[in-house]
Amino acid sequence: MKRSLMKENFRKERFRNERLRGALLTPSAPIFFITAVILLTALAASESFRSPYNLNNVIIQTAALGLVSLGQSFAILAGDVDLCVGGVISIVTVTAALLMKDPPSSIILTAALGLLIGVAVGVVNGVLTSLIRIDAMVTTFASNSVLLGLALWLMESPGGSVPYVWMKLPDAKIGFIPVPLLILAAFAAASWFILDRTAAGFHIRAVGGGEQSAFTSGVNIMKTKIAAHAAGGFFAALAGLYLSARMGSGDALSGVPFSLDSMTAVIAGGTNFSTGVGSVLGTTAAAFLITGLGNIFNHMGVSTYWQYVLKGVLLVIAVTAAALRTRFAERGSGG
Amino acid sequence: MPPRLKKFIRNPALGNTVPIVCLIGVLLAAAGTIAPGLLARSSLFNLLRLAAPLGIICIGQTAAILSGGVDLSVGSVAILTNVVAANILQGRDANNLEAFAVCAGQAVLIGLVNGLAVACVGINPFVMTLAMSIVIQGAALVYSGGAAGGAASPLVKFMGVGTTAGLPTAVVIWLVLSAVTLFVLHFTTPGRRLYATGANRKTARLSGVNVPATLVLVYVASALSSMAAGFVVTGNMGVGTLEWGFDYRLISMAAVIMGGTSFAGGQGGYAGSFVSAIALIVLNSLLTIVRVGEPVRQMIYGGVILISLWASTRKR
Amino acid sequence: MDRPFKADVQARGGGARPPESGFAGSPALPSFIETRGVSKFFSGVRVLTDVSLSFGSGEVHGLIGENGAGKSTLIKILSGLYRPEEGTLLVKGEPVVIRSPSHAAELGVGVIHQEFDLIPQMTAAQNMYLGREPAGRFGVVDFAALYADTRRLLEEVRLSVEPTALVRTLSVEQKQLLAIAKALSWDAGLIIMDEPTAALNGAEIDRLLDIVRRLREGGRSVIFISHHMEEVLGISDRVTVLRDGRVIATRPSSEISESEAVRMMTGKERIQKRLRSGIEKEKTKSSELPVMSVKNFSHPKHFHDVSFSLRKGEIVGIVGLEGQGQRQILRALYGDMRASGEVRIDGVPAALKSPADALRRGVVFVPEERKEEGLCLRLDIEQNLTLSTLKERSAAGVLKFGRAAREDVRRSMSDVKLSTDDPSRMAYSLSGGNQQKVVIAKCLACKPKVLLFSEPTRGIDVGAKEDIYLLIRAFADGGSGIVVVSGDISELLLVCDRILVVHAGRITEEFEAENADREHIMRAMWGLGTEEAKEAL
Repeated sequence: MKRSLMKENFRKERFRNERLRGALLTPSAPIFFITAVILLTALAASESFRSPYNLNNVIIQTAALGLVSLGQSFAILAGDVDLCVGGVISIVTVTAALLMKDPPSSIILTAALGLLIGVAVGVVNGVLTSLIRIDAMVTTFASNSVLLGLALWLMESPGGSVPYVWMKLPDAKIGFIPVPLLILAAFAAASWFILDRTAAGFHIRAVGGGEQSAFTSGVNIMKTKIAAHAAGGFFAALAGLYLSARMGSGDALSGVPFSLDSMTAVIAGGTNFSTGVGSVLGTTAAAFLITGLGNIFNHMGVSTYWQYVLKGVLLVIAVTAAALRTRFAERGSGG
Repeated sequence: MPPRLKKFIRNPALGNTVPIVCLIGVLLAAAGTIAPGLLARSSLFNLLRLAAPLGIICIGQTAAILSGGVDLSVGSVAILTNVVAANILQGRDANNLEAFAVCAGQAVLIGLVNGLAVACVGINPFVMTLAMSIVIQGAALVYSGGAAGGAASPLVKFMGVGTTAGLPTAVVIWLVLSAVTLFVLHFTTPGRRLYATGANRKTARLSGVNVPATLVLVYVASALSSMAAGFVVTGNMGVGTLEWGFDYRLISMAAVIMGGTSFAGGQGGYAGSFVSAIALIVLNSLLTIVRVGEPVRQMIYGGVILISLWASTRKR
Repeated sequence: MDRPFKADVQARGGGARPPESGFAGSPALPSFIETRGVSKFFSGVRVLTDVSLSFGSGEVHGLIGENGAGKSTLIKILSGLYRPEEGTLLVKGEPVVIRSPSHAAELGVGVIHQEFDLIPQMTAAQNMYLGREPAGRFGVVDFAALYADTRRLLEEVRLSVEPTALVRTLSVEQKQLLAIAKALSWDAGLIIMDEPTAALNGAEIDRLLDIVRRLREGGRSVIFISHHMEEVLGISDRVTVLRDGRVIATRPSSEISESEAVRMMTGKERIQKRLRSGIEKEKTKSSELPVMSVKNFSHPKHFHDVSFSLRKGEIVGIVGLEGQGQRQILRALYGDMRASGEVRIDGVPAALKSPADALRRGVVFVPEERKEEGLCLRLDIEQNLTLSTLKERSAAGVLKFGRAAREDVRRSMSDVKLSTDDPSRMAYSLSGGNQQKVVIAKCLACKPKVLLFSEPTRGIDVGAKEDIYLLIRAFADGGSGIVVVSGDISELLLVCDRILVVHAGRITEEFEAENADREHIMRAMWGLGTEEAKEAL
């Protein structure tokens, strides 16, 4: 009796140790470390960076990228990349700026329409990639340009406006917590729950980790891919709505940088292509890092031109690290 | 149809060349009825002159897609070339050599980085070249300080707007490069290795092909062809500028896929890309005539890619 | 380590189960699933012809046949991966169309595929219930139930890993057992086991056979496929022999002998006469240096201390059970894998760091995965055939053209007896045998000193097989040294001069093919000494 209890305790102990080890070895560990070091250094070194106004700014900026990146996580975990998120953001900000009027019903209806657009685009992308069976990057790259064209056609130069209430949303606070942070946290938690606690999440990861195996195990590949892309579209639309509130107007080009940046955030966050492994938390941390870096560079007076270069370099570093890590892991496990 | 002709048309290296030539005919006929002036010799030459940079960029894009990858840095290499070359040239022929050397050097460097990242590190070419295109765009902005200046030298202008043997010089350059490309792809060992690498990397390696070297070569060649296109455009515009009409990344991809080169790799060839480049430019001018704006045109190019992809999977 | 097949057969013969007379035609047991006149075509080629079989509940049904006989096609039809062009399937007497693997599962068909269908980055539990997770509202997974069920099934197959263990971290045997547990979790009426013992050792095999017996007692229907004839005959109640996509016979296992089964599988007595070397033995034996000699060749994971030498005109076979390192030895000799030790070619030490290196030294390799590694399917015959010899076929990088070059390609094609003479035919449009011939022609064009063959006739029809044996013999007679790795002992006995047996990454025995017999080799493959082996058999 006592022995079995000891055994049970021993097992628990070992289990806990394994969990700790697992947490340290998780692919997201480096990004937490790097983000913490860089942000803390900036906090310590720069007075203007740690001013409440600026910190609030960083949060407001991160929310948009964070939301898109969460959506991108779904696509990348399912083994695809969604380069269409930028187009969705553009078209949603334009739609919001053109259609959203003062009455609450208009705000709600327009927001719903925006989300519907995002989901619809995602579904189309999912259908296309699973039907065409070619790299999702190519199909979503093409559909991205279709959407950007559409957005430009609807609104040639930035303009339009959104209601005042809507505009105030990003600056709002509940207690001392900024609303954007709450929004991001809520959706990050929801994404984590879906991806790690529901059957749908398991299926998405399974399809990303081994499509053939998932299929023979009875997972509906097309449905799963469509769901993953729809999630990508939904989150992009959400980010688009948020951006329209932040900018107070519509801009057909506002979404352009997000396709690439969200990819960087997800990959830097420890999600690997075609393994189905990756955590939402890592992605969120990476989103903070990317906007934080932009903010730090602005404070240091680095020109926006250089920031272009750095963004590209950051993506290359992230994918290189991911590729090397995969290779290292393969060698380590000998499989 | 005589069997030999049938066999020739079915040659996989031709891709969709034959149907696209028909399509060009239809587009020209349509253009002719809307604006008869378009079928005049001078305006046809003008169309070809416009098609030349795209066609030249498609050389590299075709090679990249044949190798089983893609090169999205093509457009930005051309822009960088334009900005750098115009700034070095300052309108003087004496600076030609320096401009060519610098631009070729940076193109080779870009191609090497792309190629090594794809071949040796194993980064997805789509991601790598997309990131590279952002880096290069940033570099072009940094170099020019956001406002490009300078001017093309007479020689470079001649490349862009001059005529040689009754044809626009740009077109002559394009034809020569195309001939070289077709020759290299189909009659030389590097061409064969490229096809084998794209069709099946494992087989190519086991058959003694140096796969990484082949891939690096592809991306260097691609960057160099974009550089050549950059010079033609510089000659055409006469100045350095950051405002380009086309997103060459998208259009070159559209042309190559429409021409029948498959993303699966090892399938297709440059002939299809060549005629598709012309078809897209004709389509573009047709759309301009009927006053269709740039946004809609962009949508159409995206649509062309999607439809071509769909068609290519139906064929398999 | 002892394998209790014979005992099992005897037990049943002795009345543990009633003798099944007249069982073959109409099963006494109610059939769970039945195929009626099922045929399947691939691009116009018939791969299954009029297959009518019934698999009874409470019956273990063995399926045997050579590679390419149609076993896997039949399984894929039953598991919803393929749809037959002709014929019907009946589940419990009801005609059905199986639309997908998940539909097959709903109908009660569970499959253990040869490639395990496990996702390496996910946990054992996630894999086990993938596609049908115990879930509450909104698909929220009930982790307690998931882990409890998983633990129960893992215990059933006596696999001691945590449900939360990542599949990536499991060994091959553990993965195999997990795949079996996964199939059990379907709680299916029919369980198809495709080579379930390939990755298992003796004790684990016994455990598996126990599980199969328990399933039978529980009234389940089991289809059992294995390339170990003894296993199939030992465990199954009835055996169906497939050949060239047709059912040759269905018989009670107790009424069929191993040699009879082999005869039915091959359609004739196996060719008894060896293909003799055209060169006189004495001449080669004493003559020059070996064309290739390998000394202390080792790889940290796959093989150890491999030493052998290969004379001109000699064919050496390497045989072993699945996964004993024999294939990796060939890969390493071809420079596709790094290994330590010494390799000499014509007496000169050769560091073979890459396939290109090996080719330069006159070593060529015909890989087992014809479509994945041997050919570029989307290219034509000529492009494939010339790929390894581009340098010789060009001047300053420009390929030679004209009649001489064309004739050269045509000659290579006719040398290997390709069925077509059109070099612009696409590789994917050729049959398996002809594809293999193109690969061989490509290798021959290199004028090799040493040819390495890995499973040269896998998935090739009988006629083309013989062509390939004759080709191999002819190259040897032309003065090349040849190494053939194959799992097919009869094949090796047919073409080789010497046979090396590999067990657990080491060469354990060597036989002169002339006076070797199957049983001896088989025992060596199992790593059994003579005494033990006699007991076991």
